[in-house]
Amino acid sequence: MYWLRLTRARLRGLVRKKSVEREVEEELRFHLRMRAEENVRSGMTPDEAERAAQRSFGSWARVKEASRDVKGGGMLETLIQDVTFGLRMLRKNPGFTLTAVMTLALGIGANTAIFSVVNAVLLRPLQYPNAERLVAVEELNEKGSRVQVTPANFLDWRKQSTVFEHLAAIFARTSNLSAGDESERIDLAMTSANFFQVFGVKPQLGRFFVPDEEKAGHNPVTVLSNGLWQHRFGGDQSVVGKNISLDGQTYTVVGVAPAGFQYPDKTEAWIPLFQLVPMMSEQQDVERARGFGFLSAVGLLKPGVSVKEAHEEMTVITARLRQQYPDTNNKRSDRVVSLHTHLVGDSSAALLLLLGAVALVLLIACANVANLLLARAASRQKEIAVRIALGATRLRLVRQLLVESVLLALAGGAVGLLLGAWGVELMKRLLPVDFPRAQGIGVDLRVLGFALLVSFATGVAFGFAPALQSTRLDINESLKESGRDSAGGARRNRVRPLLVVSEVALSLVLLVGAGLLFRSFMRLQSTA
Amino acid sequence: MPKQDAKLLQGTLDMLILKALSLGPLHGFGVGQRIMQMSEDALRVEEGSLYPALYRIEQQGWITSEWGVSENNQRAKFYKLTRAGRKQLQVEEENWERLAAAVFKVMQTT
Repeated sequence: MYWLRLTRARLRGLVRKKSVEREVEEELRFHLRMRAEENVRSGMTPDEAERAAQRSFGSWARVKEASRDVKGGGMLETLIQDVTFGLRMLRKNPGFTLTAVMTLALGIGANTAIFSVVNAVLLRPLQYPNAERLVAVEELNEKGSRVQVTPANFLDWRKQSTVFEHLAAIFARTSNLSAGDESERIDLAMTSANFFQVFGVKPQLGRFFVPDEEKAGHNPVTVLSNGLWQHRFGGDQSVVGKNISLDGQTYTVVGVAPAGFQYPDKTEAWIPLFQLVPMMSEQQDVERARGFGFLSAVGLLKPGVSVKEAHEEMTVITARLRQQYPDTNNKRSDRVVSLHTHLVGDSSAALLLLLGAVALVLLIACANVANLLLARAASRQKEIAVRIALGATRLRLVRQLLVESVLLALAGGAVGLLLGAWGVELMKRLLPVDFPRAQGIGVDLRVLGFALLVSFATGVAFGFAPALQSTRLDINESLKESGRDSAGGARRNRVRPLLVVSEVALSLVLLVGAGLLFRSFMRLQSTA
Repeated sequence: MPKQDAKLLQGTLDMLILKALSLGPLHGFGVGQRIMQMSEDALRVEEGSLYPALYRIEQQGWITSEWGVSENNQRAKFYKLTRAGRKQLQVEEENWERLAAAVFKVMQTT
């Protein structure tokens, strides 16, 4: 509370410095008048009285100075002084400033771009009502890699499990949509009837599926995405009940999904699963097929059930199914993971690796700028020596130098943010089409905060060693040297070889890392 | 002057100002006058330390200030004790009494 009040008072003192000063002056003038009046009462002439009052007041300037110290900005004011001085120093050396800012901008920009992806893909929570209870049930083959779920297994899971409030199956594919005389290719999802209940969303218009609609022989119905409804039907309220054609088959629109709901990513329409499963011969009963999987399963856990408990129950069920159907199921296992993990999957490792790589790039940039600063410190040695001689404390000088480097870093951060925003667009185009949650990638508040934080940390990181170095000097020595800094320089520059060594080491790590990364990407490409 | 002494004096001055204001609102000049009266002219507060002290105490939140009209019809800034200031005065009085008693005891020892 006390600090809050003090800060507020100081801020006020700072903002209205002029008016505060005027107030102090008016108050002191009143004091002088009172003193003079008193002197007159005790028998002086007005002139004498005034002079005596002035005298007894001591140094007018000193009182004002002391008052200002208390009233004025204090720390804040010196900080502003540091900032103005720092800006002036940076402007005085445009070459140095430009080099440092661009170096940092590259590092910070790369970090910002990668972080935007990490933010959208890994950090941002799923935007569904019950996001924390959403899970996916993944089927694994004997090698432990994900395979599609077979319909028969899915139906058994749904029948036997007790941990899910709803368990839904999805078959995502593309389809040819025609409505009127235009047709287009869209992403279509065939789902079990309870699909929308899993996500807890409410229809924008009409209704979602009813249980009977997933049975074969039922009337073909469809739910449209909000986007499709807007751009194909102009948001027409009477779309419910109209017919559209998907792959030549007629479907009746029963509802429209709320804005923003698209699961799986980019889906434009949903139709019930099981009534019409393509690619299966008509003789084959889908509900008995165990060898041929094409589904993925998402579920809503009952409140209070953990992912682990769900996983344990599913393990028991799978073991039972394995015994029951040894021909098809003996090598299968499954696992329950949160929907977020399911979506992000393997991309998280790659992303974190990338983030590590750009962090290394930033470290190298820091080392470079630190090197530049040290080189410049030699030429500023005299300035610093003079300031120490005039009574500046080391703390004050270190702070001054740190403020300068943080300013540099913030400028670098600002340019880096621009580079980063451009990099984000580039990344979005370079990422594989099926990269999870890719459409949410962009610069948001969290990314801005990240860039700011990184810039700040960067400034302190590369500024600290040079600041300590250049303020640790023998005043007599450097004043005597007066510009010939060859001898003193050699001793103080022990940090610079260290920086070069670490730079080379970091670059090497980065090079090797990039090579490995490239190879594993190549391998991913070849298996895909 | 070593820092320690300055601090002691400053603390004492703060207490005296609070005490002076505990009898009612005053302008800066009045605070000095009242301290002088109460000490029967023994304590004369330097203006150079009075005003910084007033501003400091104000920022602590122990006193508040307001522009008003003085007894001789001039615009003047009046200081008033806050509730927190009253509490602070109590604390400082107790501390002072303890200190004074202790110093007195030391000086009594022969």
